[in-house]
Amino acid sequence: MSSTGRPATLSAVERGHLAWWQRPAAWLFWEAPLARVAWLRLAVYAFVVLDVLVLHSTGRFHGAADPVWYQPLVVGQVLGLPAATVLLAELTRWGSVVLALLAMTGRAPRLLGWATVVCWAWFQYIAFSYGKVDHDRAGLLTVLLVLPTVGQARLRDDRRSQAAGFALRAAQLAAISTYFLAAIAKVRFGGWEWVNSATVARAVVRRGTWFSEWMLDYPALLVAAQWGLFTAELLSPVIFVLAVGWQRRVVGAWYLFHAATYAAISIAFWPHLVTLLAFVPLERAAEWVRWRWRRRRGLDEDVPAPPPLVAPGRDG
Amino acid sequence: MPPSTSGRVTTGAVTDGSPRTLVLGRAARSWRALAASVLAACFVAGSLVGDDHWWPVGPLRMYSTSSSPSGSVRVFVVEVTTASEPGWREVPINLWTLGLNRAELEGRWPLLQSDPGVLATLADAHATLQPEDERWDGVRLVRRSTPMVGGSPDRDATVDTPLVVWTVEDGGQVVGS
Repeated sequence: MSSTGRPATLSAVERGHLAWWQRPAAWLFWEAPLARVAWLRLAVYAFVVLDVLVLHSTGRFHGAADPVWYQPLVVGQVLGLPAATVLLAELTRWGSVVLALLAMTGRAPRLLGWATVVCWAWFQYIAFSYGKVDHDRAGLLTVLLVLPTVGQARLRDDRRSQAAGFALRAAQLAAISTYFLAAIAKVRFGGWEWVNSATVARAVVRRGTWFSEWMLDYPALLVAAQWGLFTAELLSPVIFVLAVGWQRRVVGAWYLFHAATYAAISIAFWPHLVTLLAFVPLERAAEWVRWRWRRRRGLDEDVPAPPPLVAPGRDG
Repeated sequence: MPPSTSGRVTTGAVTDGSPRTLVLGRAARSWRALAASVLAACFVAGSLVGDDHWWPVGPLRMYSTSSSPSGSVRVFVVEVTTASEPGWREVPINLWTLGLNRAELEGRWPLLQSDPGVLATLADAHATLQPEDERWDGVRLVRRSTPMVGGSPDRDATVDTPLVVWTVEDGGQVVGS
């Protein structure tokens, strides 16, 4: 373990004072506000509770399905995981709830973090080992894996941490690779002609809403949407070379895209939307909400507004 | 409990006036970088050569297949009978009715073709999940095809084809393909 040398500060990176061979490490282990990880942890573990109870309780029902429908995945074969029973499904489901609620307190962040990810992942395994795998969860699993590596972080922490920077960077990489690898999968399974196919039209036929069904009369519009989506996915890694402010605008655009997708075919990749929060300066968002709240109640009227969230400021 | 970042802590303000910073040592950086590299390699391999069984690192293939603008949209429909309602009637395909969702049922079409008696397990799961409902004494799987013309569906030309049937009296049998 190194104990010498002055740490590379963010401003040094910003000023370009690092040699080229030092920059990848400084980028991966940037000195992030610990408070941001504390807020992300709060959001992620709260989502785990919501996920297993409301959004994605699939595994629970598989306890009632006959074992003939069980199709062990590779990870289940390696670990020797059995078919679900009602007891196992309920144990992993409620275990996820209790552990995530405890983890939200910020106490014992490593122990509770690891326990939560094991329990949640097992419940997901039960959900996905019956023939249908959801593809929006790998990012959140990555976040759940890296959060315990940060250790103690408080909501009003004013310290910075390279461990926090690594966790946030890993989460960002997971979120963006979801888009890029989705483009790779389209080429692999659908071929380059995917962009001109009727895939979105078929999705609208099966799951359309008032927002989207009129588009079936304009097939060219749906094909144009496919071109746009595929291009955006393929170019998604470019976000990492943009200035921080533009990164946040791009993430805002992705959130708008997901809102439109939900309106059109009632599908939302909820865990992925939570993973994308790794790009958002959550501790500043909390500060902004607090400022608005106090302003509305007639307090702190002479306190100036916090800078807009897209501004990089000192927080990187 | 180890120190929070497994690394050196700079306790004073650094020279540019920013608050104290927790810095990772060489070992802490190395294992993190190694773990991230392994995970990234698994995701890339899963996308290039893996399949859904590789979860959580399988390919991100949602809506990745190409559908012909002039093909047809095919969905499975489950129909059931009960002692008090002998005619076939459609029931929703969802987890709280069957213990399986639509994609899981569609994905196991080969199993149903080779062993149509498996449909009886859907009646069992329904009895477990909805104990207040009347027990099903017949279950059949129907394919509903809607032709696409120039990327738009022709709903008037929708055709239903029964594929596999199970009843308490006659057991399971394949009736279509």
